[in-house]
Amino acid sequence: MFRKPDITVLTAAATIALLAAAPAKSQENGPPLNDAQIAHVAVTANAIDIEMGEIARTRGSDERVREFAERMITDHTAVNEQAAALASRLGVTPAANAISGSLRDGAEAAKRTLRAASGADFDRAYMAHEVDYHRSVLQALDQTLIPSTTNGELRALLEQARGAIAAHLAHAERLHASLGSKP
Amino acid sequence: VRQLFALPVLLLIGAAQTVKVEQPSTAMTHTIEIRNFAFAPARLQVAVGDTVVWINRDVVPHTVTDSLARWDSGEIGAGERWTWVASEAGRFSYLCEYHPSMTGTLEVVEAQALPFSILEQSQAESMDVQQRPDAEGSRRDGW
Repeated sequence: MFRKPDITVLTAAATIALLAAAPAKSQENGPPLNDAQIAHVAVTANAIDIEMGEIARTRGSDERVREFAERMITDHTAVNEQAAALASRLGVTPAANAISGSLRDGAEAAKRTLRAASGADFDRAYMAHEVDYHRSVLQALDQTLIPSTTNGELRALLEQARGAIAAHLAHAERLHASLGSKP
Repeated sequence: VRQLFALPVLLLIGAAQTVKVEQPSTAMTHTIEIRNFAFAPARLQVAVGDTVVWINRDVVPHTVTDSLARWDSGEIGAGERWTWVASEAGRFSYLCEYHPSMTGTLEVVEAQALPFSILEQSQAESMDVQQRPDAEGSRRDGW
């Protein structure tokens, strides 16, 4: 029988490659990201995982997957609310840029693929996406976003977001492994 | 004469009661901060009768849940706290039910089992805490 949902993983990988490549792209194609652009990347990354969670909390077949999706929505929403409050206080408007645009494009493709999957296939595809996505965001935070940030409050916010991402990654890895491989 | 005799007796009783009230309690309050998706300190030794307070400094909710399901805080919202009294000796591993990679351990020992130097230091810290209303408590971590 033809097996198709691994496309989701490939799409997730493509999204992640864009995020992980962020430092190289910014250095090769233009000046490094400024704080307003970094804030936009962070807000976009959070928003994407909220949107993925919105899909998974209704389409997930395993209760643990649905609970994980709810947790992603709760946590990433809280982080983005904090980011919005900080931006307002600092009088900074997060600035769209090529990296956040690429993230958005990749996410839309991943969402289309997820919507085409169902049952246990959906669960595995969603959790595989979550593992790869959080791993790449963590890498981007460590290698680019946090070191490049000049504002102390924004840096502190990103460091707090890092804690969330690391905890989510560990949770996602454990849950994904427990789902097992395709029969 | 009886009235003159009774007065010192009453004074003695009053003095005895005063002394009894002022005896310091050895039970202490310990604080564990939940910050950046971690318990700090992650390991803590307390005595039976002590109180442990977890304070959530993160912007997201967490739980403090015993690994063997003997107790559970329920949801601790951002900025909220949860208090637990150590009623029996033992080793308690716990985690955040929402974020299972967040783990901690409490070792509850009988009060006399604590090393004298640690107890003495903790009592000094506790007295210091009482003088500072903003302080949360004292700790004995890294046993």
